[in-house]
Amino acid sequence: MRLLSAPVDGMPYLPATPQQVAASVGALRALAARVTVASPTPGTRPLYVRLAHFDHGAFLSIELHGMNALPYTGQIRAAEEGGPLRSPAVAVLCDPSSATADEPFTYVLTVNDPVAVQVVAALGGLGTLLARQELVHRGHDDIASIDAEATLADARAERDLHDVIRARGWSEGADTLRERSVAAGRPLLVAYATTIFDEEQLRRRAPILRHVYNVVPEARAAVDRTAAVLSQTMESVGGGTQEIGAYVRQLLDVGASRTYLAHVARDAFVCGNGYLSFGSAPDEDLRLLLPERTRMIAPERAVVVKNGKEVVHEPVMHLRGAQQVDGRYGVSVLEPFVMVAMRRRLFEQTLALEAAVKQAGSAEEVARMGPTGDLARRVLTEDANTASRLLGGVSALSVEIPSDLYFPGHAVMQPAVDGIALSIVDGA
Amino acid sequence: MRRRRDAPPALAPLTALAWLRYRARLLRRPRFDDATLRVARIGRSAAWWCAVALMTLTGWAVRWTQKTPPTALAERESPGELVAEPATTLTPSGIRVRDKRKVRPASASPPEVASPQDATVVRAMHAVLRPWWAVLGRLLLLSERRSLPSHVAAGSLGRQVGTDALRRLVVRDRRSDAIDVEAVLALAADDQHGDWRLPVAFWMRSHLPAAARATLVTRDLAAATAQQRGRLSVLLRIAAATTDALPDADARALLGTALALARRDIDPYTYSGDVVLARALVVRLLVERPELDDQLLATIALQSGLESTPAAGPIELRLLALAVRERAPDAGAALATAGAAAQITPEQLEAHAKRADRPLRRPPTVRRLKRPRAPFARIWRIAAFVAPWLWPLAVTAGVAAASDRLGWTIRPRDVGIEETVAALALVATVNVFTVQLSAQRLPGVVARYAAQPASLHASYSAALVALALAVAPPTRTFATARTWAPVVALGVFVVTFLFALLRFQQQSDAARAAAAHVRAVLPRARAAGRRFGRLQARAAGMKDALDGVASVITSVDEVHGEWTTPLLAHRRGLLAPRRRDLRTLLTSAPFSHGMRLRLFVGLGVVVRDGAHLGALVPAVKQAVDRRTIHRAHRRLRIVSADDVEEVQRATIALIELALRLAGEGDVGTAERVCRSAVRLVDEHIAAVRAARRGGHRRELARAGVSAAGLRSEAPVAQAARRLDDDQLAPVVPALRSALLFGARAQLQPEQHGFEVGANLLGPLLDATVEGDGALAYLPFAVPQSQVSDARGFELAELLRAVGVRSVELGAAMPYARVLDELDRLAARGGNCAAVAVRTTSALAATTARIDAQLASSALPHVVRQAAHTSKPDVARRRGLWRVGAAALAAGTLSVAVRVARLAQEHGDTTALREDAYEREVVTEEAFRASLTGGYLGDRDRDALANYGRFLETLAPVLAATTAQPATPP
Repeated sequence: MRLLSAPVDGMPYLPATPQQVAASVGALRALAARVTVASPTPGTRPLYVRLAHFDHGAFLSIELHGMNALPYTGQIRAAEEGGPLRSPAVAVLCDPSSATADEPFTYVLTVNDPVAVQVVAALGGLGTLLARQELVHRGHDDIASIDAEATLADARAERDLHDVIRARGWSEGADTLRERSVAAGRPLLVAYATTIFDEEQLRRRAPILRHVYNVVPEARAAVDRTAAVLSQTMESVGGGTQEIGAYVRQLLDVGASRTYLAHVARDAFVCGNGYLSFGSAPDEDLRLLLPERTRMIAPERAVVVKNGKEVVHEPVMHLRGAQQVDGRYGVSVLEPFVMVAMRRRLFEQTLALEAAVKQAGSAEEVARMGPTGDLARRVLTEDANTASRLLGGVSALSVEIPSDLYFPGHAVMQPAVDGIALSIVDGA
Repeated sequence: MRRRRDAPPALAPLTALAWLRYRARLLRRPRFDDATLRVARIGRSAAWWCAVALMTLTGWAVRWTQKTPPTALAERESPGELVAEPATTLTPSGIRVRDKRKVRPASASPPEVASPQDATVVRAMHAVLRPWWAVLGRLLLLSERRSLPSHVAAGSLGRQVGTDALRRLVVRDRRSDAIDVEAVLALAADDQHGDWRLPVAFWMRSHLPAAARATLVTRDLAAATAQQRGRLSVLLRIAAATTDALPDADARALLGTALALARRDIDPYTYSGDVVLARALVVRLLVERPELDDQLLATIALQSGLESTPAAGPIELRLLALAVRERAPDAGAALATAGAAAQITPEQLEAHAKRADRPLRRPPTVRRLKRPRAPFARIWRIAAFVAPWLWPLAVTAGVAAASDRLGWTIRPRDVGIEETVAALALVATVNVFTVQLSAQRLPGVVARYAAQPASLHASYSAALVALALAVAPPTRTFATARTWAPVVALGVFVVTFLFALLRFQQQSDAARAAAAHVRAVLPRARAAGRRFGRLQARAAGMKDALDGVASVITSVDEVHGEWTTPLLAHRRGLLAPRRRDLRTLLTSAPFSHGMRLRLFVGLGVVVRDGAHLGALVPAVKQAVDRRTIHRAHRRLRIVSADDVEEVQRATIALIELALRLAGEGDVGTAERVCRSAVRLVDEHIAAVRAARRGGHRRELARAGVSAAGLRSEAPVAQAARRLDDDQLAPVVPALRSALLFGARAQLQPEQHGFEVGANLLGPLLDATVEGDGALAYLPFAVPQSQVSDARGFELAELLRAVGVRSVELGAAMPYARVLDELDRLAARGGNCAAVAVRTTSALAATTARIDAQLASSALPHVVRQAAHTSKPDVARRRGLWRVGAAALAAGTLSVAVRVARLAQEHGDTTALREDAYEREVVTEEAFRASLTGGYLGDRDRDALANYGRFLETLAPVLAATTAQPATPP
């Protein structure tokens, strides 16, 4: 994640015009070509990275210039019953070092930023990735200070890179990175893609993002606030006769149209795409379509695959969360919170383990736990700050969230995974 | 090209293609324009009648083919068939039953197997008929009738309607006594040939007798869950339309069935239409049959305290709330009783009461300009100026020509130069005297026009024509005409001069002079308004565009200590830079290298000569050269504001005249002069508004054609939002002056019975919308520090007028400012505090009749202000009572409940209930309400007493522990 203070004082969230998008795409393509190692040494394991763009519509902080998106192949680790703690079945994301050419590690940049900012952010992101890989490769004895070491490595990488960029320009910075990756034995293979996630990847990620919404309260509050603004502020103003006004109000209130709107907004922000089907009798047929089962086949027309059968819905309102440069589908604005949710689960488990050991374990076991509890508490505090900083203006919205914003039983999003974990390739 | 490429996206010019599309959009009429709707309606009607003709032809053809073999033309996919003759059946008991149905359900027996030859013929006929069905179906779809099925292709619809008499009957929405209801219901259940639910429901509601519907509903909905989806949908719909025809027992049974369905949770990702329709049916039953409340209350009471009850309360309570707002007013009795039965908290009850709120905000009434459009208005204005000068000449020429043509033998007396000069001198002398006389009594601007009626111009013209003819040498030709022409001109002079004298006499009255003045200046005032409105719209668009440009910063005032070069206005006028000017400036070399423009003055605002417009902020390594300063000055264009300031001067003159007359005791004339002033301002700002809206439409069209990139819909939505015209625009100078003078007059000692509020401020407020800025300006026109305590009541009334207009327009910000000002007034204590509480509560009570949310926002102010009075408890209690009673009378139950919560919080409920039975107190409050906007409605005493009873009913709910106080911190 790249949370930089705005490089230009008072820089607004600029619209992503075609010229801006074209310039951004061209710049990042050139950067990807420059930083990529043309012929990696045989025997080394390359780092597959994909650069992409998104426009989050200022839902997230305008200081967010780039974010990581870890690949997910649909792998689910079964629940573990043994031990002091029970672990539910979790979705396993791929570590950057285990990314492949087909499922690369993706670094997403905000397309609305000035091109120069994007280039610096992209180089900084790659530099941080490389520094982290070097840190993991080097190994470390003191697990309790791993967070401080990581922060230090990030800061050092960023400072070094900025020095080079300031002195000799971004192309020299890219060259430096390329050479550093070769020296570290992790040659960079960077490509640019206009699509962050295709249809299949979006389908796979939806349960993960629902889990993020369910477990990260900051993100959940922001989404709920936005959904409340979008749905509850709709008001009917009477014209014509009182009878017409009464009919419209009944249509909205009895049919729970506002609640459906809140749901579709939540789907859009959380899963990337929300679909509201009106059907042929809108006062009766209004319903949502599950994002992972829906495919748009024409404007306002979608196909839902259920039990192997395809059902066409029309008319359908398609609402997108963050937008991709190319592709008809949106991506979730909660992508930056995936890592937060994963770390939070991990360190909350650590704290629970520590509590269990302190309560029932032997002195030796308590000693073996060491200061990991302190580490967990530090990371959780840091993550809470990061989660708040990631949000844009929506976090400041003064909106009362009604208790019946969503339908009864749907306050928590389903189907969702029970947890997120990271797969680390042995020897990485 | 370089400039186009480098320009900030918000200021980028349109491409040639986009420009053409933009012009085309401007030519297109608005979507909901009357003419567009009329043309569309005619088109739909024509398509329908063509389809009817085709359906009739098809019906004849089908009957003919059914009489003629081969008979297998009609497809057996249809559930009904048309029969010509009634069939007779003999029952086992010997009764003969004649089946008179024209349409009967399809036979259960398997269809006869057609021979291969017949099948070939059928296929051939279908191939032949396919285009026919397609045309018929297309025509039907074009007609957009509600009796048409949805999700069906044109060819399929045509074939279904063509081959099936039953479907044809439904589509044509025609009645038939001999139709089988089951067959019609079967259409709704058929989901293979489009969706027929709505057409069938419409048909049954329109053509099935209420008794038959009641029987059907009672019989079939008893086992609602066993019904097929489409059939259940239709049954629930017709049940909702039959609630008033059901016997009591059947209605109760139906309510039970519908409630069982309605209680189901809605899964938003699956079809839940049956639940929604069942809820609509419950609401309809409760609206039409209030006697069923007891059954509902019993079910609510049974659920109270159960863990399975939703957090928001039982669904029955929600449905009752929705029904209550459609019923005749019951002073909140039903909802309060149900709330007590459900044992819910006050917060939950308030949430339900919000659903029961009856008031529905309506679009405000604002004067619209119904005058000729700009080019015609200009022609009319020029014609009105030129005509008095031309028509004497035309009459003279016409009469002279006639005399020559007809050969008049009578020779008139010759007119010499002396006579004509004397005439000219006479009219000039009279003119000078009248001007002097007018100037002594009237303000200069008014006097100028009062002394210049059109007839005087005609007199001048006639005298000049006569003089010219007298001076001109004689000619041989047109001798008769030359003889008559001076005489006629002199005659015209005499007539017009007499008219002018009469006009002078009339305009010695100040009111007439003012009216004449307004008549004379109105065309120019409208033109000035149109120009100002266009500039305002352009300024709003530019402001939005500049918000996205990093090199332009707007700030309220100069940033001291900043390394800047100031930019000063070189003349007085309106700051109105053009898009291309700013584009040119911002793409120039200094700005490309980091220079920024800081603006201190809003676009579209009148600036004085030498005013500080903004500053150039250079980058660290930049110096600001003279060329850049000169360029910036040139690009920040200032246009003349003389025309709008002329209207402003005229307005000030008229209002001063009215106030002077009122001060002299001539209240009647003052009121008439005031009316003229209001008319002038009204027409002027109506023109401003019309032009501003036109400008906003143009900006929307421009945003539409230039939309591209990601989230391209955002700028379009932003431009469309401006069409609401509720964003503050620079205040029109004439309106600002009128409000200022009006406010000052209102807050000065009394003007001998002259009501400034009723005569000036009220009409002006009624003529404005939020975007005009009057609501934002008026509360601060006269600072409170300049208003004495003795004028507290007048100030409060002024603020109340602004508040009421804000509510009518749904303007939350001005409303909040009014309440804040009333708080400040109350903080003075003494009589001012009492006046403030009374005014705020009266305002909140009036608001409760229109907008529940705004009314609720005023309640904490009532409580706060009451604390400044000498008897805080009484003031607070009375204030809350006013609002609660008005809310209850208007059906705004959420406000009534909120007031009850506040009363409970402050321990006022007991005293308030006692007050409601005190005759003197009720009479006093009712009288006060009738003087202040009649917020208690026609039955004011009942409303006040009802609120006491409402509190009694609500007592169990209010006694429950409240999770959060009703007063926000």
